[in-house]
Amino acid sequence: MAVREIISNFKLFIEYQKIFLKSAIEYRANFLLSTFFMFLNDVIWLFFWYLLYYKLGDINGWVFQDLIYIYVFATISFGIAGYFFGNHKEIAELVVKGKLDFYLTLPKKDLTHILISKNSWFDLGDLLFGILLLIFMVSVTKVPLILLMIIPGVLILIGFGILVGSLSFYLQSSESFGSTLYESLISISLYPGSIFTGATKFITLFILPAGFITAVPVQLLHSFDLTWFILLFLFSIALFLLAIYVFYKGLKRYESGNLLYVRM
Amino acid sequence: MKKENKTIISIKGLKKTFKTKVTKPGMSGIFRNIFSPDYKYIKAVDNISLDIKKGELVSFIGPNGAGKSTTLKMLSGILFPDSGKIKILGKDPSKKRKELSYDIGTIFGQKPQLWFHLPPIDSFNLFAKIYDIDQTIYKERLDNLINLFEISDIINQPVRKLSLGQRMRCEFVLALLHNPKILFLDEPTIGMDIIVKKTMRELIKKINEKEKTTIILTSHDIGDIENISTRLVIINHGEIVYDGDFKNIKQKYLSKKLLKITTEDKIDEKDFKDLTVIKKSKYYIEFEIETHKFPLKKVIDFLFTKYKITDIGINEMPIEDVIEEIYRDQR
Amino acid sequence: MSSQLNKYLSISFINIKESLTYIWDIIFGKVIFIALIIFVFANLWTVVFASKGEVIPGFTLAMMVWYLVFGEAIITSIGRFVKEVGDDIKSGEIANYLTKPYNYIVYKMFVSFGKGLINFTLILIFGGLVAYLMVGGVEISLISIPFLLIVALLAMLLNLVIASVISLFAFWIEDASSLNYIYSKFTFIFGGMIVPLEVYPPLVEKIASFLPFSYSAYHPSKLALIFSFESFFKVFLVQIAWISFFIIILIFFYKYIIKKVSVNGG
Repeated sequence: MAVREIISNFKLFIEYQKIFLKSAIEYRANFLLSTFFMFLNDVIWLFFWYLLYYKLGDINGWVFQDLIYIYVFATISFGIAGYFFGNHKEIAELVVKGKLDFYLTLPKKDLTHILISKNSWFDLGDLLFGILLLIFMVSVTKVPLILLMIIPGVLILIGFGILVGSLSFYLQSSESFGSTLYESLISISLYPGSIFTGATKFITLFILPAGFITAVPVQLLHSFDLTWFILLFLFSIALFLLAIYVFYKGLKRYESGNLLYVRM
Repeated sequence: MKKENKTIISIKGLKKTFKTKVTKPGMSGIFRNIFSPDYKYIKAVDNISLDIKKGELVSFIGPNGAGKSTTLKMLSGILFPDSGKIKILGKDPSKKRKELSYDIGTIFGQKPQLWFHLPPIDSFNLFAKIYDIDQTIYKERLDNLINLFEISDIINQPVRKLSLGQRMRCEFVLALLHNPKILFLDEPTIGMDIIVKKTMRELIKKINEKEKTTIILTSHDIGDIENISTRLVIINHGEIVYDGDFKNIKQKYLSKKLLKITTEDKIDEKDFKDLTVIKKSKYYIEFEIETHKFPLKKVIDFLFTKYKITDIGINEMPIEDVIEEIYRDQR
Repeated sequence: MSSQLNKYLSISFINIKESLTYIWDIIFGKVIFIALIIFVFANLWTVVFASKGEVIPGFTLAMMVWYLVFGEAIITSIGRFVKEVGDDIKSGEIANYLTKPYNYIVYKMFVSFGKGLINFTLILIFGGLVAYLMVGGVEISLISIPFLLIVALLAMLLNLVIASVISLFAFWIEDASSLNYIYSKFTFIFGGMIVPLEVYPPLVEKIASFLPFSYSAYHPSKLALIFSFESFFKVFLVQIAWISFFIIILIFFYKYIIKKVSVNGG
């Protein structure tokens, strides 16, 4: 039963990918431009860090190569989460504008269907950038471990996106606050983890869990520690499950765009 | 027992209230909103009960915000009722939403489901996967629907290049792909001109007759359901105002005509003593007739033989007045 | 001329008022995010200063962080100007504006300017608060404040004029907002919004400080921290020169596009 469901969801996933590909071909100029600009954006930022490290040598022990690792983890997990599960950033909008109706009237599992039914071209640029970095700037021996530790990153991004998006079930007009939290997560994950110490480090791990997307994996790459490795997976899975729980709990309060704002 | 089997949808004492925040104006209002928001409660659906039998075509008619769409959304399991019971094919949609989705098709007039930039066939293929329809069954079903709705020459053109009527046909095919027993149409005619509305009526009738699908549709315009609906449910302020045969309403309220006559001769009051006279002067009279009691032809023939008529106007009763009259009759 | 200016200023004023009604949305959206970035860099410079001391001679830890506060306040305040203009061009909405008794692009610039002033103030308050709590304050002489405001306003204007030129590219390429994305990154990094250009290698520093972007970020922010009338006049004059230069380009571009729009009907 469960296997059959996974297969049928996978078939649907493939069907959506076909549709996305057709849309990209239909609007190829826009598609190429969006992908290219995101790629260029990543290049510019990495160049900034190159310049900064050129001056400083290291930042609290982390060197430029560590920042390359940061970008590998960040861009590939942004890319996978954003391109293949694009709707994890749009939950609030779906809730507020009553766009969940579509998914609720259809037989597939709501959240699964929501996640796989949107892609973002920008994030494809991220993904390509990350893959090129991985190929040209990282030694081959590290690749398997890196790929393995991208999985928790993707889970955290999707889980966190669902979590802040689900705020909209409970609070009216929390849309912009939720997306600010998500943007903050993305931003913090792009800095060298060594700059966060003490209480701030705790916050970047357990409140805005950016540390688990990049800093912890980079640390593990240097000196493997089984406890942190296990914690990385446990935390990301726990966050993901919590997000699913909160979403379905919130769904019971869904009002299908019937929120009327009455101005007095 | 036999009657039980025939009832496909049963609704009992359905209620739904929405809580909304009242936005206060100005800067101080913003602060007050954060710390002590005011709420306003709006009863969207207030104690609605009805049964729908297999193969019926039911129209929910009422003004905007009357609760038609909210009822429909509770029937599809999108919204949870505050109280009351719904059974569709013996199942509660708030608990068995996913199971029921295989038996229900939906079209929301304001939310097209076709992919705008791609040909309809891509959306059809996607929905086949969403409903896990077996490939051979899907091909057969799609062929049937393509023939039924005459869309074979447009399924490979991007939706954005299709006319509104063509898009509508494709939306119907999309909603019917999984062969649903029940079809919900929420404001399907919104934003349509008379010609597309006519196409729409024909499509709905076709589905109901050929596919034996039970259909519930909502509209704020009673004119939309002329010639298609047998059963009419008028909803206002979340309550059912009328539930019954469309013909009755048509005879009782829509069959009333408003006549305005100007004559050269003096009007004799006795001729109009059985009718509802609205306005009268020496050479002018405005009155209502019920065409099933006094056929229009007879009335006019009589008037023309007796009076020298210089001007005559025959008007339908406005729809808003119909609801008001139903209220008046109930009181 | 003065009645013209009055008309546009009243447009800015209306937008200031409108922004004030959405003030919590602005704070919870944009301002908190920028305060967070300032917090992150305060962390970064704190650990760097702890191990290496001054990175640029004469720039203390507090100055490094406050430099970013000023840069963010000037640069990020203009908001989604390019996207809005780009959308108007793409949707053909621009044709409607052309019939109105004002110049479309000037109108849009004053709209952004009005909103921008609110953002500027809020970022300065909240970003400044974060900086103060993390690394303490910096000294700014009272006499310099009016001159700094002039330079800050011109910096915002320069940023806006360049953004206007870029937004008109929407006429040729589908999505000008991604172009703007890259432009803003240029200002962040080579305009010296994030770090003083002295941090970069000498060649990069020289080129970047010559480019127009640095006159909307690096030069004004540095002036705020190290004020002298000599550098004020220098920055002021170059800003005026760059603004004039881009306005000429803008007029040229705009006239060309208007001609096309009225021929094609948008």
